[in-house]
Amino acid sequence: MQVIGGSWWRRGWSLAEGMLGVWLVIAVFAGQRVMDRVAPSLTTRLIPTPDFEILDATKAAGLTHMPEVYSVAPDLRHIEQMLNSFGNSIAVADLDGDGWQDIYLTQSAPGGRNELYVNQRDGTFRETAVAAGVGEVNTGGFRSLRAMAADCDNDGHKDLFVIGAGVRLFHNRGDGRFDEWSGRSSFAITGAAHAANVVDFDDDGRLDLIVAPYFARDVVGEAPDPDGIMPDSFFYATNGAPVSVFHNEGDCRYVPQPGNLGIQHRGWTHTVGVYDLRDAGRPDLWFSSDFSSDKVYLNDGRGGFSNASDRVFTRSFSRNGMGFAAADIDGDERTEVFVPHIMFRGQKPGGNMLWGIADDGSFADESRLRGVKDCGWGWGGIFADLNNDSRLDLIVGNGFISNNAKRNYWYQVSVLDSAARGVMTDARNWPPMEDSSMAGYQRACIFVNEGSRFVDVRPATLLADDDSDERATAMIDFRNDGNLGFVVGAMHRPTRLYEIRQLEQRRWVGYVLRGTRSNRDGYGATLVLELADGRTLRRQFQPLNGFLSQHDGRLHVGLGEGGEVRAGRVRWPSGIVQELTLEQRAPGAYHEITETAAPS
Amino acid sequence: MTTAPAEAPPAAGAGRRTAAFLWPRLTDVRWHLVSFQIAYVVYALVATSFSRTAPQYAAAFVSCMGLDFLLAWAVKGVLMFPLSGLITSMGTTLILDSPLVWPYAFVGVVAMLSKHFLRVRGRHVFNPNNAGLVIAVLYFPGVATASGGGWGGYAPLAALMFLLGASVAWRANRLLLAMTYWLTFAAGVLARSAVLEQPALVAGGPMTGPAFQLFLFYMLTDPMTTPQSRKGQVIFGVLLGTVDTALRLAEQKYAPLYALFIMTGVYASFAAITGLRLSASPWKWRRLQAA
Repeated sequence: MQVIGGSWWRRGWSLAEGMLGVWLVIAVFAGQRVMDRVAPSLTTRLIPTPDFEILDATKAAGLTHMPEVYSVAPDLRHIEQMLNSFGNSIAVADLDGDGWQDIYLTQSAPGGRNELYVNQRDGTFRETAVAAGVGEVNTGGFRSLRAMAADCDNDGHKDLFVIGAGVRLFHNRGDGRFDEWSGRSSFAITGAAHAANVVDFDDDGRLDLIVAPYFARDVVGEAPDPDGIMPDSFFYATNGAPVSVFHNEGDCRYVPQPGNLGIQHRGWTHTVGVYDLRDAGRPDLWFSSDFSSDKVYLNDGRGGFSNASDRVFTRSFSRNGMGFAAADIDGDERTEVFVPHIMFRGQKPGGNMLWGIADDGSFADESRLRGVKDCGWGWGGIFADLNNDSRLDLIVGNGFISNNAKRNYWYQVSVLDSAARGVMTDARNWPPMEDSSMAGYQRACIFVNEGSRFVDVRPATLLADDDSDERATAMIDFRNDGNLGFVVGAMHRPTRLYEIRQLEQRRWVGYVLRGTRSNRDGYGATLVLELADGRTLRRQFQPLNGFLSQHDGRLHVGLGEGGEVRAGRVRWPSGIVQELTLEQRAPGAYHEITETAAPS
Repeated sequence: MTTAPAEAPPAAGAGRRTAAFLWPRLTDVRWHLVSFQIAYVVYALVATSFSRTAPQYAAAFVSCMGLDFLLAWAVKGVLMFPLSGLITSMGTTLILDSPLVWPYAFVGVVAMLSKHFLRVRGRHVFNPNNAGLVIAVLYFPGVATASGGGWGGYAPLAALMFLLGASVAWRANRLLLAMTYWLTFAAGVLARSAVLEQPALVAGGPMTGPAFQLFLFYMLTDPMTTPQSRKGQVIFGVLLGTVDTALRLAEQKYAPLYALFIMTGVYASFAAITGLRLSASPWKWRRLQAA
């Protein structure tokens, strides 16, 4: 259609037709701009008003914890915001044995002082870490990345594990004061870990320890070699550090388990989840892994684990798993697993995974179906009944680096990820972050379970405009009144304590588990409650599952309006099944259940 | 990746349909391309890093090949083996990255619709695969991306793909174009490295990865949407590399895809307005006559 000759309109038409290619290019890019502006208004939905209020109790409770910012090794300092950004660990447990939940908060900075907030039973806490012997922990090159309370000698008092580039173990004298017992064990690990958990893998009634490192070597201290410190891929890294498993020989004496029980997983682990995924009476393991796909190790019933990842992840795949939460959220007697993921429009599609288990044992992602797919760059995720309606709700903290909102580091990562492996692995090749943001200024999600779907009610709560970079989130009923609150750690913000005020009168019941043949804490026990209205509620007690967090040391179950427990039972890790007594079925209180019955 | 240079099966003529079935001859350069693509897809299936599922492959194959076949019949009145659809479908599965199934079908549908309906002077304006991918990542950023990470950044693999890809480009008579773009991109790396004070290894990092080789030799070298003449290839390659560099300076993640989309659109218009002589279709068909 050469534009020569003819009438002016014919020439004009020919020109316009010939310009089709240019028109199309303009239309495609301009159309996208228009869609960007119009789409949000098309997708805006009415935010339902939740039947509870969230109140900030931080100040009234006396929490003054502020995560310290620290520097990494000089050769890594140009990307420091990325390396020192995992926040502090939160462990909620009754550490002094008075029946009230205390809070242990770590500092990741070398020399920083960890804090222990002891519950004063009146809605306030008193900080006692140094007097208790667990304050000055970050010494001698050690720094705290993960804290866990677990009774390692079954004496009825929770001891304290603190994990980092090593493990420190503090034994509870019984009165909330601790002695360091690390020297009794051989706690050598590779690299630095903020993912760990306890599990009795050989059914001897003692809690063993699993530590899964993130970095193959720590990023602070004696100038680590910057080559190899970073992953060799943003989505498919293979250069992490190996998992370490320690067997509890008794009296809190831990020894490395040869062969690590068959666990071959290497590194970049954010969370180790322990859960009986198949309701087989044996705990399985889930490694939520950054820079790669999650790994699932199923218990082989002989004290070992086998990697089932290729068998179970056949329908969809995970990448950059962060936290871990598991529960039967819909009463179908099957486990659902929630793993917060990274979601950033235009850079990292995907988002959270909510895995349902199919008949053939494979896992299928139900996150979009259930409305929990998109919650930005998620970290911690917890199932908990916030409104005591008997359905488990879901809290997800999010946001990575909130800095200069006009500067985005995502592009640099995508460039590095498209290069040959050696380029990304060397920290010196990473462009300086300077004041760049990366998935910053995001708002947490508070998903209320409405049955088949979850609805985010955060915009209708106190947290509506909170755009801090959350990390660990731990549940706590610090008033012992059956209303769960939560502790939230965030980067560059004080750690906060939120409580929930119910707007509807609903019942609840709670349980303190005392194992005798099983581990004393009852970790791994499963509670089944049959309600008078015919429904059955199942709750597995795994309070150490969660990104850098340990939740309330009791099983809390919302019963709904007028909810009544007709019958109930506990299946202990030992295999013992124990029926609840009439008193233990009464709502409105925490009941103690001690493992007594013979194996059924 | 690859794209579907498809095209130009002999038409049956206005308002007529033929009972003959057109089958690409073995000497058709697209078979050369397909043979390498199959190897890459097999690698993608075996390498867990790709994280593709069978329904995703199926969505791409069915949408691309099915539509290519049907539209050729509906628009041109010919029955033909949809070799270009096959090429586009494999390119889609290798480049598109989505946790869902429908984006794979979406890219295939957009690619085939653009191939059969967005045409100037009898030639499609855009590389079909490129068009589908650009629209997917632009309009569905929450579920679709084009990621090079799935290849795992293995340099030996990239080197092999470079060699295999060069042979395809040579047979398609687009090696000069590919090399011109490569050199312009390299010059852009040095420029960006100087402007941004970055190591050249970082700015040029993508050149060392497999995804870059796919773009360079399989998508860029589509004979139907790029110049045939040596001079035209040099100009096109330089301009493409320049636009790509400018987009990278603006930190556009999909710089090469966008740059090619822009350049093919502009080239189609330029060719139409100036009456540029286009080369004949290089595809070779064999007519299988119905009994």
